[in-house]
Amino acid sequence: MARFIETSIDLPTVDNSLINMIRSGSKLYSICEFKGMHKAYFYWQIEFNDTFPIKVRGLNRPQIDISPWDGTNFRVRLTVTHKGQSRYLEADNTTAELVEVAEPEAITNIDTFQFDLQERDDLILSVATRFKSNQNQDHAHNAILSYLLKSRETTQDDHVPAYEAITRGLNHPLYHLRKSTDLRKVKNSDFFIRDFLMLHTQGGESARDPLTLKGISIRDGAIGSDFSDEFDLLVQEINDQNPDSPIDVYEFHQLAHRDGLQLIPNAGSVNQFMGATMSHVSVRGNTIESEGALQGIFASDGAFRNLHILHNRIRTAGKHSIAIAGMLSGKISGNIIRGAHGAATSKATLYPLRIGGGANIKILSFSNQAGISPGDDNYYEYEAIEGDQDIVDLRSVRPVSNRGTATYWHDVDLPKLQQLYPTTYRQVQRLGQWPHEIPRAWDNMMQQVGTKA
Amino acid sequence: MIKIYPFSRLFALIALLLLSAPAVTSASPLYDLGSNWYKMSASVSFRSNNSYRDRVSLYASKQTVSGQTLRDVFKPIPAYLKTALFSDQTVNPFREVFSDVQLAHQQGQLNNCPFVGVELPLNKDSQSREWLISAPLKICLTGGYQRSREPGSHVWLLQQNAQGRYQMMMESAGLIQVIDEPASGYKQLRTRLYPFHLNPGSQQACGYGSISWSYRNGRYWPTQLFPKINGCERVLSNLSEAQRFQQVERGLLLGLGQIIGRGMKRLDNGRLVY
Repeated sequence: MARFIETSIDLPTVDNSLINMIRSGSKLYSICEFKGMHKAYFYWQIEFNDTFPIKVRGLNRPQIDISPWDGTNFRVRLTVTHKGQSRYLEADNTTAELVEVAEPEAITNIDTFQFDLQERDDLILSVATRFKSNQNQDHAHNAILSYLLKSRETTQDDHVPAYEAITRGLNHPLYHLRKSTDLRKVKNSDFFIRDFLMLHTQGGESARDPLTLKGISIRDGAIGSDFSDEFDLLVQEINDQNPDSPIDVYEFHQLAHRDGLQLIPNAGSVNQFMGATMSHVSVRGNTIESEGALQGIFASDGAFRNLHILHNRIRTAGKHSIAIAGMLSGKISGNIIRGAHGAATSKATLYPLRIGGGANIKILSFSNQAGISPGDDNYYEYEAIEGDQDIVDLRSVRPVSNRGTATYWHDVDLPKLQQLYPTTYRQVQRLGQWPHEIPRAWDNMMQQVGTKA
Repeated sequence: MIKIYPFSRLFALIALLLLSAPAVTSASPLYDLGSNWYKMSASVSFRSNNSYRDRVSLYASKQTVSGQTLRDVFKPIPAYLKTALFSDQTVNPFREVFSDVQLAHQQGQLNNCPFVGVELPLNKDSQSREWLISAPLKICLTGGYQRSREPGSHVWLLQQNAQGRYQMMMESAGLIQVIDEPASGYKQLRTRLYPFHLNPGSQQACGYGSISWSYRNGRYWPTQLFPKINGCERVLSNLSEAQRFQQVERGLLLGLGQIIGRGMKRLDNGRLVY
């Protein structure tokens, strides 16, 4: 049973003093009580009939966002999730103060968005103008994402974590794991906006005690959701402003930088952009499905030693199903990879180790100093990858046509590079105002540790 | 005063309203989009369980940037309209380009495919009627989406004239827009055409064309073409952007040539000359 015990907002006319009370949060926090429902998750919303609604959302304690308004009649909506079941309660200023929940049935909301039309027009026109000049998909998509997040009105219960993640940062994954104990937090989900999971560690303790991502089910339900529907309508209206552009802003299903599982090495003082190594990680028995450009298992920066990718089922329309840059050793085997339309496809690809982030430096081969032997932590070599997977191995291959900014290097002494890096990093920081000089600084450093291809 | 009302009923009502994506079950009168707008844009996305989500955006004037959105207006079409879509008696200049659709119908692969539509007057002639119809052909044929290549649904604009004869006014993959700037009394249309329709087996087919159509002498003719190279950076990575554009443009002109039965050229401003 849920009871609305305090409805001091039950006034025929709501005045500004009430707004102040709502802003304080105290009244809403005690608006209802639930017998035997401790540790419940609360989602609040108050709507006024006229003009701007007042929105009150929050986890247990409401976070209050009050827009200008002149409403008189209002309705309180409250969703409570407890032990995996959601209950929806409703009261308005003329009726219920006490609500009985007859059956503990589950209910799911939908995601809805409330747009200020002038703001919406401004967004469409500004993004269209900027896209016409720079054709930058990321800028356009980020502007749309920000606007949609700001315009959220109601949220389906199980979508809340995804929205909260992306609110922390537009590239933030649903799960960002920095230590092995974080694995406990991971739950299967079919709604996430950027990555599902980012593993950002130096890996497991040893080959016998690997860090294992196992049995996770990732279904990309954001494709075709209310969210993507609103996203795509904005995209369409932006593209309508630029009918003669040779390229359109992509729709949500082609949003870039979305990964099912992304691996990022981090070894304390050395990060992935300087070739940090992730060791002893096993990714096995996971399921990743997407009708969009979601990349399945992906790593773009740093090195990976003893990485095992086994028996995963991946079906995606993305460019990469399994794509690892910088894999030094390990095993890829038994993964079932399909395109979005279900046909078997071989999209397990290995790329050269990449460092420098935007400097886009790719290492085709290594040199190791005297005294360092295979098996040592600071020994670098592209070993043969074990397993029966059909792999496209491009780790030591320089593309015939290179239209991007990447430079390719042979015989790179990576430990020496990491010693030189602090000096170069300071230099690069100083060059921040002259970004065109940064590639030259990297080039100078690379000349000391390798040979340009 | 404290009042109590049966929450379970409210619960059921809200659940009904919020949870039920429409599913295709039986035919009902089709929604009439009328003509009180300058531009109309419609899309229907289907799920593999035959439920669907539709959206119609209406723009009041040429200057309107954000449209007014209607949802849940597409309804299952009556059987006679589905029959007319594929009838040999229906005049359809798009048969050759969308031969895969015709073939799928002949092989019975669309028998259980949901077809939904709205009534969409294209002119002020009360003697003729037009319908905008959509169906998830890729889902029906493969059991899954193919979002990497095209939107999930196919659309038809079907007309029945005063004599009861049917004519396919337009056929397109996915998006369709109708613009109230009449030519010969008919609203103008804007659609997309995908080059891989012309060459289904080609992995090199990418991009699409945004095509404007005007009515003249009893049918719609393409008047403007803007090729888009979306998706080509992957499949044509060895070509420059200009080369990609030319390749997509070539494919689209070929397809339009098949539809109208003659070759054409595209001017720099997008205008098509035959």
